[in-house]
Amino acid sequence: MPDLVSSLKEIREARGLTQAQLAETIGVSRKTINTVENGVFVPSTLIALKLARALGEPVEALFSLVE
Amino acid sequence: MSTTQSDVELADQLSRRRARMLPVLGLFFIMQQSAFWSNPPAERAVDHVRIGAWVLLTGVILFTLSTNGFWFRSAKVRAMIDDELTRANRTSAMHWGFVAAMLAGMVVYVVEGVTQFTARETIHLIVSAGIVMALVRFGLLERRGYA
Repeated sequence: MPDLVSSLKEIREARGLTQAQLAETIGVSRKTINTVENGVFVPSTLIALKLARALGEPVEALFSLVE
Repeated sequence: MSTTQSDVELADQLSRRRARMLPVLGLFFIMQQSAFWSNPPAERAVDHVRIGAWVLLTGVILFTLSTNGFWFRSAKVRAMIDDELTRANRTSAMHWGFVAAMLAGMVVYVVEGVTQFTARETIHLIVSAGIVMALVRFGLLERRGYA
């Protein structure tokens, strides 16, 4: 089963956003952002799309599969 | 903007508090067992109070586990506290709690030939196993979010 790799932290930091600010933008808790960045939690399509929209990136830029 | 940020911070603070509190509540619930088993309730008035207190505590914990709690907070803060990750954690905790309750039931069923349990004791064991497991699992998963 392929693993999910997240580039969320790098992209968020490049935008100068804190975890709390990003969480506020998409209406989730800060720990959700933290666990997605750390690879502990795989977000739903809805959260992934919200993150992509908030950061102005396609979902594929935030998440990728590693075989 | 500042109001929204404070909502995030408040949700974060409450969520952390809950993550710390749940395993402690589980421990408290286990400690209650010693009182139950060392002095099983009979038919005295005080025993009815004890039984009622245990049922009330169990009901409150179960309701809190099922509904997220924080009923007096704003809808926005509650939504942040009960976001996708927390719902996933709760589902996992309930699953583990169910398995623990079933295992407790199986153990009681097997050892019934060796040790006699009253119906109340059996229910106490099964419910306690499920509740404590769900509490501890939920708390640990929530704490992992802040690692």
